[in-house]
Amino acid sequence: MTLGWGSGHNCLPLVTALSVVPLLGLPLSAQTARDSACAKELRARQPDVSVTERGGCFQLAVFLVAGRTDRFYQVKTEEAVEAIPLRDLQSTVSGDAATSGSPAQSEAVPTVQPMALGGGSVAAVGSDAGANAITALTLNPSIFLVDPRSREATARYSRLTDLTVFFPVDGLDRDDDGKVDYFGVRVRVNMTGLSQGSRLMDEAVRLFRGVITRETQHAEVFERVITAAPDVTECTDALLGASVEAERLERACGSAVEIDIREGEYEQLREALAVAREEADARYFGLDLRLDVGDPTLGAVAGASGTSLVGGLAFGKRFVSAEAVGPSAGLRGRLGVRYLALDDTSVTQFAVDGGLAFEASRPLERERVDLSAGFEFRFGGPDGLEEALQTNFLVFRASLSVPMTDATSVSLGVSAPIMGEISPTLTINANWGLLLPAR
Amino acid sequence: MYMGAIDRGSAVTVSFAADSANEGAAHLLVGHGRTGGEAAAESATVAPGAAASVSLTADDKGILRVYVDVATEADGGMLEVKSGGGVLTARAIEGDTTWVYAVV
Repeated sequence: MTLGWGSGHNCLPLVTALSVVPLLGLPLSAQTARDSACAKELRARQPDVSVTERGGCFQLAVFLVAGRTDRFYQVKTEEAVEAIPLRDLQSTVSGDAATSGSPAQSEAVPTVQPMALGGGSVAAVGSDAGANAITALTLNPSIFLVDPRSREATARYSRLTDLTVFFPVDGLDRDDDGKVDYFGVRVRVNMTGLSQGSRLMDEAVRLFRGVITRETQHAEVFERVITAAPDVTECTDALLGASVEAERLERACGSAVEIDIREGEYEQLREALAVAREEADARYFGLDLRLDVGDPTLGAVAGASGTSLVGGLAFGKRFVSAEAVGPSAGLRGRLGVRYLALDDTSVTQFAVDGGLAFEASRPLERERVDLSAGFEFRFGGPDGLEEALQTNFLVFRASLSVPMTDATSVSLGVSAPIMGEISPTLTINANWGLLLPAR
Repeated sequence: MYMGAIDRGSAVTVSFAADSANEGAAHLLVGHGRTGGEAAAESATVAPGAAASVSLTADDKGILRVYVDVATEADGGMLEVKSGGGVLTARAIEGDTTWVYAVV
């Protein structure tokens, strides 16, 4: 009978000696001599590692266990990575084109997770200024810096930063002064989130303990087999062989050996670790930089034209389910400072600017349905100029984003002021994103 | 990969410093399987650019396995195993890595 030692399928190698080889009634001197022989055998095979005379056969047995099982911990081979379509390396949690802080903002609190290559949106905006259309274009600079054939670099740098430019398309220069009335620039920089233990990681550790317990049992069996083997070298060769016949194994080791394969346990462990990593990576922390030039009220408030710069930190945390495609919920927040210089006066102002929102998401293959709701605020500046300065307000925001295809979605966003002189808005965004090549 | 022997009763500390350019978080797991008994295991999750250590006592004859699970094959860092105050193994690693020691 031929026994498969490791062809890489679902039920594979571990080796259990059936016959519990009597470990044996060997006299101490014989046991010591056999340990020395095992240690010598191990040194010949692993000249660079420390080998002690004591427990030589157990060390050789552990070496055999490692030889038989290491590969189940290392399945992300180069070949496997190469087989992954580039598109699958694209982040599935990036946001849409960044229109944050403008009337075209659709998300309750925007993410700073960048788009993989770029994209855009066209927003129909209803506000105190009437109906307007704002378009936004986003570009990820990595497309100029990274060879898309480099999969790891693509996966890494496409998640780092992007740049968005937006402007109204239904009247760039309504006052005919030769200048664009309003435009904005957004830069998102995604820095790494903090990681810590979790319930999902606890489950992975439990599975790891089970695997280690079984490996130790196998090492004990190997030790018995090697200790009783007529020839240590032949038996070690037989136990390391990729494919062996039971008869040959019995001849080499002097005892019957049966293969008891539990590759599924390793698969479970790897899957648990993957889910735990997703949870760790479901956090983001980054920079949210915004430049606005012109009138962000689109003409609704006289004297609101100016130049503003917002610098802030943004964070987010999703609580992922144990299923890879399960629903998730999360929190998003941001906090920053806005500096504003009005065009028509010498007024300049600093204000605290931030927001906090709850989000729920349901993945659908590569797309997701996203729902979010929360509050944004800005406080600071002199009384009496709140409207022109667009400050001292608290506003409720909610949004729903529904995917249309792999690369397109429609978002509906509403905002309603709870306090302060700021216009409510209704926005409908058509969003699209560029996809990495499928191959 | 088999990395050698550790004396029974040794305090083992495993440290992993993740490269800042890593694509995602890495998991560091250290397990000690005891002959005739249950295994013990400890873990840490390491963000890109961060470092973490895990300690346990190899208190019985058995196996000690160190496992670093990274997000992509290109992710890596510096992995170090100390026992009894001395460095057993210290190497730069790339991709998923597992080191195995015999506790004797």
